[in-house]
Order: sequence, then C-alpha cells, then structure tokens
Amino acid sequence: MTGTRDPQQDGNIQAMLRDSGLEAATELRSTLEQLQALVPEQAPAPRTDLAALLSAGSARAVAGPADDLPFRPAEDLPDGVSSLADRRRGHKRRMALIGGAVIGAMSLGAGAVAASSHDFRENVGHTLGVIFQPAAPTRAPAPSVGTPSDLPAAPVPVPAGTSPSLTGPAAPSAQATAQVPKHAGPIATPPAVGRGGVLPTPGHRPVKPGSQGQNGRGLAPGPLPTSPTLPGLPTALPTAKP
Amino acid sequence: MADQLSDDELSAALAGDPSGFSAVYTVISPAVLGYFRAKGVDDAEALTQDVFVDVLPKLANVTGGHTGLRTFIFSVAHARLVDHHRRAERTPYLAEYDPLNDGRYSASAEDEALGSLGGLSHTLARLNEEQREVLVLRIVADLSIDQVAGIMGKTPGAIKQLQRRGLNALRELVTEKDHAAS
Repeated sequence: MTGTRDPQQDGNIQAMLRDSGLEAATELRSTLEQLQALVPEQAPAPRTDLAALLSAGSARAVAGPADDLPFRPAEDLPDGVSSLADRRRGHKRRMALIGGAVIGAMSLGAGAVAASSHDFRENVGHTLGVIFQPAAPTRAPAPSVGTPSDLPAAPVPVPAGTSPSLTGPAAPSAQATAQVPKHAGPIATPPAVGRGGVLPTPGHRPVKPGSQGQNGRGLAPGPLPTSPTLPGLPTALPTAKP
Repeated sequence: MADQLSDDELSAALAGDPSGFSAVYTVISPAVLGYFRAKGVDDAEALTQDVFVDVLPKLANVTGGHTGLRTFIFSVAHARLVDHHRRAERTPYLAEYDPLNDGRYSASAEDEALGSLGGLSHTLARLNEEQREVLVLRIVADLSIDQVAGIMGKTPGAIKQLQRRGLNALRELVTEKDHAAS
C-alpha cells in the first residue's frame, strides 16, 4: 500500500522529519509511513442517503443553498430514504401549541387565585392605592407654586383631579371606595358621615392621598384649602388634554 | 488518494454537479476515513459518510480552491470527531464477546506478524491529544501547517511546536517498543 503513495506525500513526511531535525530516525519514518497507510486506496461504498446526494447533487445545489432544503429532499429522496422535514415542522407546531397551553393554564390559575382570595383583592386594592398615591404629592406642591405652572404636570394628577367630577377612571375610584370602608369600617361614625356627605367624600378622597394616609381623617380641614385649587385644575385639564 | 481533484471537477462540485460531488467523494473520502481510523473511531466508515452528507450540500460556499475545499472538509471531520467522542463518553460501552479480548487467548504467529497497525494505534494513543491530532492531520489528511492551524484554531507556530514535540515523543515510544521487543 505504501508503495503506491505519491512521492509528494513521502516528501511530506520527509519535510516533517527535516523540520524537526529527525531525518536519521528510520523507525520513526516507518511508523509515520504505517500511519499514512491507514488511508485506504478506494473510497468506501456510499450509504443510501449519501448515494442519493451524489446522484441528485445538481438538482439540489442549483435549486438553492439553504432555504429550499426543507422542501427539496421530499421530492429528491429515493425510495430507501425517508424525509424528516414533515416531522420537524410538526415538532415546531407542537412546541408552539404546548407553549400556548401552558401560558393559558397559568393565566387561568392566576385568575382563579385572584378571584378566590379575599386577601389578594385587598392587597391589590391597597397596592394600587399606594401606587397612585405618589401622583398627589407631585400635585400638592404645584398649587403652592402656582396653578399655571401646573399645566405640564397635568397628566400625572389626572386620577386625582378627575375624581371630584365623578367621571374619572373607574378603577381608581373603585379602589378608593373599596379601600376607604376598610379603614373606616372599625369606626362606627363614618356611615353617618357617608350618608350626609355623599358629595364631600369624593372631595376628601383626592386629598387623602395628597396628605399622609393615616392623617387623612385628622386633616379634614386640610383638604378644604386645597379643594379650591381643585376646581382650578379641571378647568386647566381640558385645555391640556386636547 | 492516488489521484488529485482536477480543476474541472472542483468547479463542477462547487456548482453542485453530481459528477463533481462523486469526484470529491472519491478523492477525499479515503483520507477522511483514514483520519477517523487513526483516531480510533470504531465505525469510521459511518462517520466518514456523515461528514460527506453534511459537507456536500454546502460546497457552494467554499472558497480557496483545492486547499480551501480540503480544509473545509477536514474542519467538518474534526468537529464530527469531537461530537463523536462527546457522545461516546455519555453512552455505555456495549461489546459483544470478542475472542481477541479474552485473556486466555494467545496470539498466533500471523497476528504477531500482521499486528503492526494495532501496535501503531496503541502507540498513537499514548501521545498527547493535540500532538496526535497534529500528526494525523499532517500525515493522514495531508494538510499543511497553516491548514492544520486553521482547523485546530491555533497559530502556525503552535502547530509547528506540537508537531516537533509529537514526533519526538513518537520516536521515543517507537524506540522504547523496539528495545522492549528485542
């Protein structure tokens, strides 16, 4: 086998040995020639899919490199070879369906928990109240500076400003009403106050976030000076909204 | 390996002509098979055919002529070999009964006379992994220093150093074996 080698290849071994200064090592040379003899004379007989590729090479390569590959083999493959392209596509679709089902089940479960748990609702209401609270402190300094300067900051106090007109978004007002009875519940007097002051209570609510939540009841006179500024805002807001 | 790929066959292969594919397979697959055999792969033919199934549809992107084609094919073969070894590490080793592995077996005179290849792979297995890879790629795959450097992701200087050390280590192993035999 070694006798049929290219002289160029034998020269390759020779050059390697010369580079390493090992030209005199005859055992090493014979070992390297044995290593070279591992290369067979003939190519191994191609497998079925490889034979298909060798025979139908032009059709596939001329058609296009990569984007046609998922579709072309189904037409080009001979009898012995089955295409996996369909299974691959089905697998992708199955993964998408499973992902959708998992997301749907998780959202259903989260919704069920939210609907069944009383504490959860209370916490959400409280959290939303806390979230909307910082809107008022930005608004409270504004009247002291001056109402015209408040115009750029108008989008922030929108929930508080719209609540007196009772046309504001349903969520904040609903949460506010859900929240206020919770704190007012232990005290017996508020129902009477609520009866008498149906209209004043919306006036109190926006002020209560403005001041501290605990002192809202004690600061009942506090809202009154700020309430005159409130009518000033809704007049400013419609000009700002369009 | 006896004949080289002609320019017409190379351009036909790069254009996706089946005659070019066949020529590439006929000329280069023996070297790939020898590379896998020298690295001790148990089913070297299957891995060789895997390499060509992988390589042939991508020949249109190959640049660099004959050298580039050979480098590309052996880069894929090298990557396939790494994958093969990783997979083989995770799968349990299943072996049928082989009388040659039986400790009660004594070698015949023919086996001793023809056992040079087995001894060669045993000797190669005692080399450093990188040194063995460089020697096999240089001699079996018939690649230049620069090509081997590109395949293994090293500098040509590092490949030269590995080759020199590998040859020295191999010579020591061979002379040691000869002394032990005599």
